Amino acid sequence: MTQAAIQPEPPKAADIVSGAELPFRRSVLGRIVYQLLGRWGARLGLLWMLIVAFFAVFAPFLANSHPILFKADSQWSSPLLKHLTPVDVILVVFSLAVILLFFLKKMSFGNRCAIATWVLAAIIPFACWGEISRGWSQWQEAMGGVTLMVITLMLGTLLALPLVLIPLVSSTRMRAKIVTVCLLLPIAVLLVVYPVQPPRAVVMSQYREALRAGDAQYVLYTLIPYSPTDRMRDLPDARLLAPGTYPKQQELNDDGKPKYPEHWTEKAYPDEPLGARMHLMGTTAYGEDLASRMIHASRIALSIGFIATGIALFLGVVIGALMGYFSGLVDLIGMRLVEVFSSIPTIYLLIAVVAFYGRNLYLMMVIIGLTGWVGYAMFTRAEFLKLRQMDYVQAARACGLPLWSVLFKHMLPNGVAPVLVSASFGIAAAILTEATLSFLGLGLVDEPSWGQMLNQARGLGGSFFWWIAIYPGGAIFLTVFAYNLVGEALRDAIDPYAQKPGT
Amino acid sequence: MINYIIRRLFLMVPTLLGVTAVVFFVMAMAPGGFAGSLLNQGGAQTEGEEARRIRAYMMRRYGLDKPVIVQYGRWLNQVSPVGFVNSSNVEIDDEDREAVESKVASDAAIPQGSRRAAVEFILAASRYEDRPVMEVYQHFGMELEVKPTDWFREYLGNTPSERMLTTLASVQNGTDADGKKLDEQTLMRLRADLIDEMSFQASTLDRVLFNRPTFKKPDLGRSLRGRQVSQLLGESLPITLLLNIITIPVVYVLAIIIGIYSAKHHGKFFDIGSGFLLLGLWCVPVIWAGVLLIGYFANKDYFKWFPTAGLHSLDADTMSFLPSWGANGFERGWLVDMLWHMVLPVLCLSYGSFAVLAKLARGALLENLSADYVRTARAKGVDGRTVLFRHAFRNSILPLITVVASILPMMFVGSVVVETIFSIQGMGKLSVEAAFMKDREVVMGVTLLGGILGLASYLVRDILYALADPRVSYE
Repeated sequence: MTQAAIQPEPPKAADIVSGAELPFRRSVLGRIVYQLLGRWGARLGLLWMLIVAFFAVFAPFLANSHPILFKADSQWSSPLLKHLTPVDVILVVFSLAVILLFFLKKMSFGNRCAIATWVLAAIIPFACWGEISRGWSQWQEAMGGVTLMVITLMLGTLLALPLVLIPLVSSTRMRAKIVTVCLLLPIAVLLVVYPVQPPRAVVMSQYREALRAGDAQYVLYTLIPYSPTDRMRDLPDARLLAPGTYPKQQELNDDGKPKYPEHWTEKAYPDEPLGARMHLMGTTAYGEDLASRMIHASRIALSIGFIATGIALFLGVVIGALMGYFSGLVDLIGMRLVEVFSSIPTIYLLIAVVAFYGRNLYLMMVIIGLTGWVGYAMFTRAEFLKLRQMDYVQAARACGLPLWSVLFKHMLPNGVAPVLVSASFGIAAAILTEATLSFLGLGLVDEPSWGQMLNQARGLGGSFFWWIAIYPGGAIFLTVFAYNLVGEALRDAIDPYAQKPGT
Repeated sequence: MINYIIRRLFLMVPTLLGVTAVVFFVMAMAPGGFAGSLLNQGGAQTEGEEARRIRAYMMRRYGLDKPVIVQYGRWLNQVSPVGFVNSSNVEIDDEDREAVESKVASDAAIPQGSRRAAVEFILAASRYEDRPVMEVYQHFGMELEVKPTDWFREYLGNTPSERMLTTLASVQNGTDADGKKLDEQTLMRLRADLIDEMSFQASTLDRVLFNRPTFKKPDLGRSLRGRQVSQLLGESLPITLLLNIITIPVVYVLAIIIGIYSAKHHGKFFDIGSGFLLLGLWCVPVIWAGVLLIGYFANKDYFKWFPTAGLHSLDADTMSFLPSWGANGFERGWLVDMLWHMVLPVLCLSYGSFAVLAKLARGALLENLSADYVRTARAKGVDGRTVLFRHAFRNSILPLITVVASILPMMFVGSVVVETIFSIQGMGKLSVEAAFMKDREVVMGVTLLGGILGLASYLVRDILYALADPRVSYE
């Protein structure tokens, strides 16, 4: 970070309009975000990122075969809530907490981050309690040793995060704690009363069948009444329907009688809202609703992007910081490591790992992270080599501050900016890598993924289903484009000497 | 400069070691791991005699029964041009071979039908034990004539089958399992069985002859299907290189034209529009572009302009090389046929690098146009065209030249996807298929080649920096 960017800025028009009288002191990060929002490319990118994040978080509430409300035998139930998985609950609670924190006035960015992290760390055991209590051994057997190791590793990283972020909390630590408790308490109580324990055997067609048989008195569906893995085997032929169509229309047999019972056509649902049954984006070769799969796949794309980049960022910053700060022998060894990892053809390694170890989302994240830290390490190293000669770093050392404090509290905030830019590009690259792997058939089997859907666009005998190509491919493109737009804007924002071209 | 290049070449060695070690150990530590796909072929649940034999054969061929670190050392020894000879690679003189053949042919103790097998066994044993061929033959003949000892048993494999052990015992004692004396004919049949089995088992034997350090031809090993990895790479690498080498000039010419035009009209509609479009183009995933291109331009439902797969038509072999006007009207010929097949893959490979290069060209040109020497030239009254093309353009072409080296590894990654989509048998498709097959030697070969290409392109980039810019010096 250069000196010019740290100078307070003159008041902007937006500040005056929004009622802020004088430019108050923003944190380094806050200032970057502020500058970012002034660029329309970044705004577009952020908008798309928000949309995808919304889909990812609220996917089960947007597209689900399980109705929100269901009444059969004069008994009300909510199959949707019953089938929520721990991941769903954690995501929803965490993002609600983040949204709430966003609207809280007069709290520093560090405090908000700390609270959000505490919420996350506290909610995970509550939400996962049902799963854990299903039996340790059974779990271990089902998940496999490697997954267990990886999950432990990730949980450890996650739990270590508050330790990194707590130093950011400055004066209002007490208040932050109170807010956290207020946020957490009702949720924890709710989760203990209604433990998250989705049934193992899921029958998705039971509600449709109950409706047809006339057993159901009331049903309230989500916006798209299909789950991503709902293959609609109860319907005559739901495969490869073009967008905007219904499950197969009435067809006649040779003897003039209807081929299927009448309730199988959409005419059987005069009371249903028209859009509710329609396949907005068509269906896949297995009869799954594409729109539903698109929405649920955004979750995998985002989680891959953020977690893989997070791992790479963590490794890169730590290694780069040590290399830059100590230089000498540490630098020499680190540079050899960097050289090795930058010469491994990443895609070959990824393909080999996935082929040899099996399809596993967490493993994929870890591998993309483990091979992607080189760039961040180089950026951090370059910054730290410059910073270590600065007076304030010397002063911090002279005061006898511990190493981690000098490195990560004094030096890192001033050297993190270029790393952030490349992290934005890194997220795009990670999403693209996952899509490519899934496209090549090395992704997850049952979970929806944009790349895997794109692969289904080409059928046997040279047939081509445009909707399966356009929508998932477009989603990958827009997401990558959004992150790159934001990355470019970020680069301009943090570089005060960015040459205005032609001047 | 020469010193620098030599130093860099030596520094490549530890890096390559690191690269191959990472990939090797990742694969070696995989559960079930290597060669699993071949052994469980056909979804067999229980292992029969045949599967057991194949497994034992595989274990020996790749040294899987040894610790991982030894396996890696073995692979390194095999690949490196300086090292110890593997016993299976020892050449045997034609003279010796002929001598043994003639001796075996006149040996009454060796059954008629197994003479070939006996010769093969003697040669393999002499390779494995590193003893002269004739000595092994005498040993073999003596054992067979008098009474086979445990020397034979060694050649029946690690876990010899029950049947083979009884056969050996019968041949040794001249009696069958119940102690009844065997007649000459049965004995000969049993001997034939024994020799056949030993010949097969000995053919898989391989060990490193530590007493023979030499310069040797690097050997990349064999794939699971039995073909030489170097042969596989030799077939697929030219295809990938051809695709990439055709792509690069196309990309460069277009990118420079766009770059000059937008720098010249800086700030105008074309500049801003093309900047946005190029960023967008850069973000288009290759998988999407490939699927859309095939889906719309190689599809009978839309535009059947291009073929969907491969590099040649089925009847390419019968075509003349150049396009001609034959009896059936226009015939496109072999060359045009290949170019026609390459349109879509090259398009897929090129647009990403094109976007990067065009942005780079524009940026470099703008930077030079705002430099002092351009202002001086303008002040002297040099006209705009000359300033642009003779002063600014020449200087801004330098970063583009140096980028060519970094583009090559990037395109190799791209070609994995493109070759899979368009079914082209290049390096990318080879590596994906090898990974699916869990074919360790092929994956290692591809990794080694990819690593060498990557490191070489970094070296070329650094050399080009120095050549293109006299201010850069590595001394």
